[in-house]
Amino acid sequence: MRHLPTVPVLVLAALLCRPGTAETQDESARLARRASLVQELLDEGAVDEAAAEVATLVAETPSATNALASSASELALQAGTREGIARAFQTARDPRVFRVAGAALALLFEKDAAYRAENASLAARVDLCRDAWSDKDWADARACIARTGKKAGPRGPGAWLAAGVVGFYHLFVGPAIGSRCVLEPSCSQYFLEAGRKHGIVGVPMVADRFVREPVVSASDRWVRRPDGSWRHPDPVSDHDGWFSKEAH
Amino acid sequence: MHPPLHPYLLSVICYLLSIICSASAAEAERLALAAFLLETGDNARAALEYRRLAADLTPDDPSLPGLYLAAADAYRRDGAWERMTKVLDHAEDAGAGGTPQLLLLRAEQAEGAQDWVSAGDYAAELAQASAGNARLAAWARGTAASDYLRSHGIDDARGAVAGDAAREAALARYLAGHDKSPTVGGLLGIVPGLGYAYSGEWGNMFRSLFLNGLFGWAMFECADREQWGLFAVTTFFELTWYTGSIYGGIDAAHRYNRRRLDDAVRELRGDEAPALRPGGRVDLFSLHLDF
Repeated sequence: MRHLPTVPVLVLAALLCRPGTAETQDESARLARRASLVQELLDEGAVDEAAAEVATLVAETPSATNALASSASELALQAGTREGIARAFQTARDPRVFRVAGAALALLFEKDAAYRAENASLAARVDLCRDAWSDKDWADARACIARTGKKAGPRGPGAWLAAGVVGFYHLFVGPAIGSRCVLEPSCSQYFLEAGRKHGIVGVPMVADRFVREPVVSASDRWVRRPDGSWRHPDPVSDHDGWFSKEAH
Repeated sequence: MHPPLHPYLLSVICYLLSIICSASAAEAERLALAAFLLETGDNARAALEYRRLAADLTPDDPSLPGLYLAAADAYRRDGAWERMTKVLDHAEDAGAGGTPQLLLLRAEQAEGAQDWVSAGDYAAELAQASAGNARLAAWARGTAASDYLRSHGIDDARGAVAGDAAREAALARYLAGHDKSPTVGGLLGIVPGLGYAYSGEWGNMFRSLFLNGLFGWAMFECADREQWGLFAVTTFFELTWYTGSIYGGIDAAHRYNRRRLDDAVRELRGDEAPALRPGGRVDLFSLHLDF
């Protein structure tokens, strides 16, 4: 993938929007400040926010140049989110961005049937374009999705042990007794995270967690989960700061 | 968990933002959008909205500092400490340097990034900048002392609360106490449950003792009956509880020390920071009603 467009290009593209009058010089200065904001967002690593900001700039600027609009699509694709990739496919003026975004969307639709069903018309348009994609487009699309879709798998014997025990529990024990943990994260999640972060030390950590559970459950501290339920917070980070360099 | 918007800061930001609200209905709409995003917890988008508004104003606009401060506060709610730093730098460049609201946000940013020395310095500066407001100055001094305490700067902590009898007493109480040794806790944990007892966690001690006793007995029974498969399973669980006892002894000492420090910090900071409203300006709720 080529480099992200730099601020000077964006500023230039913005400045070319209007002929030079006193009023439009103020407007050009404003657009330059907005372009600086985009560069700041990129420097902060907020690529999806930068993409949204450029898209807003394009929408606000009636005579937006192709360069500015192409920058918006490229940024949206680089953000790697589903929304960014879909936006890049629908607004791209660069043929390469259009093809890579289309291939990335096709891969996302193959992985997630529910997402495809929610975006049926977009999926139909993507299917119409499949023949136009080269092997390089597919490779770029996989790289684009891999950037944000990567899940950390188990690492080391402790992590594999945790994954095995928790997997056994979820398959054979959990269905019989249901979800019972009142702590956040749940004991299974705690074991998985501790195993992933600290290897075999995750085993004594989860044993300590089981011993402590009644005390934590009796505390006044609550945290709301995304599903709306309330749990007592007891994160791994509260119990590994003294030996984990990651924690600081 | 991070505290909600500081009441003093909230009222002063709204005072600054109310200047914009009277100037342009379109800008007022965007401010209302940003406030709505904050209410719904979409802090990153709210911060972006404030920054976008700031970018649309000229560099000499008097409302600029307020917008950057509002964006910084939105990042504070998200715990985005690095992004908060950059926006505070913009606020300082726009003329908010040395103001109590900027110093407060700087202190909170440093606390969030666990840079306790810097946090203490900013809080001490806030105490000096709030000389005309006794309650805020006292709170800031207590906050500075608590931050210095977290960075083990005992002398700086003493200096921060010099002259404040209640806070000096709270600091003296903390310094007179003793931390538990994690090494001792871990060594005592070799005897199941004793590590927890060392740190005063009696309930955990009994649970650890019971579990180790139960699975230890199961191990020996299985070995005695030469049931090696079951012996392997019970040994696995017993090793888990036993290593948990040692780890728990160490972590219990760290928890004890952290609780002691947190109690001292709470005493030093005192009540919530005073909710001061300069000249009875509108609050954010009224902003919604107006627009």
